[in-house]
Amino acid sequence: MAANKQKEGERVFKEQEKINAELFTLTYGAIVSQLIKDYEDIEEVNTQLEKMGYNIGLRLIDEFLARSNVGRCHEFPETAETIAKVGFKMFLGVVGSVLPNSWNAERTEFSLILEENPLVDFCELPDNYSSLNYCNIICGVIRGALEMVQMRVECRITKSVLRGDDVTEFKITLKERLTDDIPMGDD
Amino acid sequence: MCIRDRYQRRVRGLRSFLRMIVCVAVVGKGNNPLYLQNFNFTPTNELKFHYIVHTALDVIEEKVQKNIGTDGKQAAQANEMYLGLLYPIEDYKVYGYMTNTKIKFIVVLDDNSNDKKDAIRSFFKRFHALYVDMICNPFYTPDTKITSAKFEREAVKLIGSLN
Repeated sequence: MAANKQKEGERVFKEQEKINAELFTLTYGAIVSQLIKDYEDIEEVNTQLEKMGYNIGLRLIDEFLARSNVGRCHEFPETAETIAKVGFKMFLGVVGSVLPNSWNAERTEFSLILEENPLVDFCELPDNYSSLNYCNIICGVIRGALEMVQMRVECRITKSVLRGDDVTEFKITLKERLTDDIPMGDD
Repeated sequence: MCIRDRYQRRVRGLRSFLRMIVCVAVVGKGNNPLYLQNFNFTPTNELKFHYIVHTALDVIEEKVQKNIGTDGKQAAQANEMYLGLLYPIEDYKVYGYMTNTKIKFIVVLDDNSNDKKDAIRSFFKRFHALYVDMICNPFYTPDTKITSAKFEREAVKLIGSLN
């Protein structure tokens, strides 16, 4: 399953329009540092980044489903692989991996590792910003995108290269599957 | 001014041949010091290197004025970032490099070494690349004191590979 997803990810990535990576990294860095100047409270900045990501995710999922050939995911592990291999490849150009030992017993929680993260290139966190979750926007994107496909998840960063770890790690927990409020009628 | 004694202590334990590059400094466009690092074996008065770098700034201004003052034919030289040997002092030679944004890199070399012009030129180029990487950090305000641990690490590595 992972190999198919990987191939699909590469196919979609090839067809995507590209942007200069440094421009992207510098733009994101400018956003984060401006947010810090505006809000001055690091926790508030983390919340805002997540909110921004959420709004991006709500829209991103439609583009994702339109361009990629992935069908409906039958179970949560499949969703995890799709996000890691196709989603990240398509939008960030990097492939993530799902840690197999990170699954919990009910298969509702997993960890996603990014070995390369274009958002944090050149970035060094000063000591007084150590509680800043620099990549929090990605958490928001995942939450927003999955909400539009009827899954409510929580996503948080558990490892960050800016804090000395060698990878970026996200922990994603499925909270509930959302059902449509309007019942499906025959008319 | 970031003078790091722990590097000096570590270095003394390692190799014992004479080092080439003795001091490296980054100076901002207002001639404000941003970074200064000694690589000296023998304990020296650190203030001496501040003084040497400070004197170098005057020489740089002279050189740059001269470049601007020439006519159109030598305009290509006016854009040259590598300034070459600025002046000799005591046992040392001081070399300079100025970027288009008026950031100056100053390097103090031990006079006894046989340094080729190309080696110094390429050193400045690589040092410039390190500086550019450091500026891309969104949390670094340009023209302020350089506190990046990565920049220091990489600079020390670069100088270690040349010495």
